[in-house]
Amino acid sequence: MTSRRQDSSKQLGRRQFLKLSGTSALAAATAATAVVSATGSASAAISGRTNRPADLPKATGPRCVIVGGGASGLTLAKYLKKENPKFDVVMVEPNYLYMSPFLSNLFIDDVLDASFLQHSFCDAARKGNYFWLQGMLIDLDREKKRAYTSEGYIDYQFIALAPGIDYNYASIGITDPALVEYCKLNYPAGFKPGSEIFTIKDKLGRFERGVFLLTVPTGNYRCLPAPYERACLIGDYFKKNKIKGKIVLLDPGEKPFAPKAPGFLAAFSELYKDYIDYKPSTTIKSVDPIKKTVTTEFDTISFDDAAIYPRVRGAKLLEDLGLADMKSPQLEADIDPYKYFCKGDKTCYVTGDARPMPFSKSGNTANSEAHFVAKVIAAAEAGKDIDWMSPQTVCYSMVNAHPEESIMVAAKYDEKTFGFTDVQLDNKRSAALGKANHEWGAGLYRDMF
Amino acid sequence: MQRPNVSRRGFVKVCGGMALAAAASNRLVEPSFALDAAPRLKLVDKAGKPLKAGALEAHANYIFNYPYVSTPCLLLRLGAATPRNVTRSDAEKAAYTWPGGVGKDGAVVAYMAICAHGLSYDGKKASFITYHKARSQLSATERTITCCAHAATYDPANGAAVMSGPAEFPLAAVQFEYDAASDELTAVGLIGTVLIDKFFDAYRGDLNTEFGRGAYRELLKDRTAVVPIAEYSEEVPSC
Repeated sequence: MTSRRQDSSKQLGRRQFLKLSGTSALAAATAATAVVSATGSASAAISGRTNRPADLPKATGPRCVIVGGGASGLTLAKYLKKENPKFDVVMVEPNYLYMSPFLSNLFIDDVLDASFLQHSFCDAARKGNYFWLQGMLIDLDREKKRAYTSEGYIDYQFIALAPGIDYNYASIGITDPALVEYCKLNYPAGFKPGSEIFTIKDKLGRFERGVFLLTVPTGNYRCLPAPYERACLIGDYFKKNKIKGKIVLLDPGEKPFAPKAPGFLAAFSELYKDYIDYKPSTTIKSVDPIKKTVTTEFDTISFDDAAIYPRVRGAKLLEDLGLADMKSPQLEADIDPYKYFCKGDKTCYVTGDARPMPFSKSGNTANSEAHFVAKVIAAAEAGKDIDWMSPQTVCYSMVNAHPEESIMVAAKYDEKTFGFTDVQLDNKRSAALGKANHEWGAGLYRDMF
Repeated sequence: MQRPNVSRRGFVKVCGGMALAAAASNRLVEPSFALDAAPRLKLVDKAGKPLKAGALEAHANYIFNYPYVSTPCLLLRLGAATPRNVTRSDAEKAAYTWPGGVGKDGAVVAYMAICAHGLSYDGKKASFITYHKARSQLSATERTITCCAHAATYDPANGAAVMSGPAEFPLAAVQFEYDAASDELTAVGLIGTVLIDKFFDAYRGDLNTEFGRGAYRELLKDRTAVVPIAEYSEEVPSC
């Protein structure tokens, strides 16, 4: 015990050491106790930051922990507090700054400044009256209702994880970890917020001639129309800057994302005939990121640069915590499909793109869904249940930037089949929808922050 | 605790409780402040002459500001008389009564042009929430108010009731006094869930730029000018 405390003091900063010493026996005992993770097995005793209470004020009401500050987590944190002001809400998010994946294609084509997409978590928490703990979830003890974060543990009444997606590079034949890493850094997909998108934008600035490769993943990937919108806007970029480039868009599907296919196909042929080489019904067998080639079932294509988007999966965090359905194709959360709780545990929820239901993985869907899940959790706290409400998907795609023109689709989901219903669709690109495209995003930020 | 918002003019009083103010149907009600008396503003044309209700083109979109220089309202003359004394529910699910359209034809209505879903509004740069006589892509029926941002639609003939989309309560309605002898309109209050507080908070930066620091919070006096929407906004997306 003594030696551990001494070892800890070497690793800890002065403040943490004093804290540990101050609460001495209790803290040391906690550090020495085996942490029972959600998987049920006792891991080796961990010392350090995760085994002290997080620096938060004492909970003033039932404490709700939200893991993840994306469209889902931000909306959930804000609306949980609105549904029940007595809730003590803590959002755990490691990033310094929020940057939306939605509208990022407009950023890479200079339609929008990065600042439009970036927002302050301080503002979110300040206006939403909740705490932002800048850190990440490391482990979860659902029996003790204790969330271990990189900044210490939080005891909770309810926890909702909205950790988003990770990429599955094995789906395109990349399994060597070194090659996965190489592909991530050199040809980032651009569907997790922040650095990836800046790198893709930088690539466009450097691109001089040749083939820029884009890929459409298999499965239910984040933002179904986005690869097509990206092809359009890179096409616009090449046109505007007179770049002798060709965008090769590999698509396992027969045509672009179903409702918007006519709008995208019209743009490809009317605006980008000389720029986009759209290859539908093409499955990627393997990628050689070093040689810069992709092998499909038909041939091998060389590229000069790329943004390679593999199949998505539920965030690995869920798998680490034992909350993923290991039989599901995208290793998404094992939750009730209507009420989002982890099976058998109405104090633990998973929302957002890590959900297994076939809803569109998009910011608008996650935002709309979180309004409902906030009501579900508030009802659960009161011992009640509420009827299912469909999330709403509203989705704009900008297919031209000179002038700015977009197409859009809006829909809800059928309670039994989870298919699209109440579809409102406009495939005729227009400046009106282009303007609305910006306002759609602005409205989402207003609701999240 | 929200910081009190006190105007130098002394019209505005900090109201901690709100329930009292909420009860009166023609008073301007806000979550964090309440007006002692909502301004009475005569609707005038661009030249400053009183507007005649009969001169409004049916099914056209007009904008006037009420009660602040910066808070937009959509004025419509629908094709027919609306129902009268319609019951609607506000954001708190409390019932209120929308009196119905005014004018000789009982078809003149006005609502705050600030979407009850996500606060998209009709501003100088662009108007996102407008009325369509014909069906549009976003509205399943004719004669609806549609918000381009997230496809919220409202029924102007029924107190801006939510028809489809993500809004959870109607647009706030402008209350009028109509003088049949002169065919003139005076805006005297707002009914329903008034989102001015949230509107100012969401757009403070833009409003400061557009109107001058703090000037967006000035209350109009005596009169408010009605203009066709295309003259109010640089862009009016149609969706």
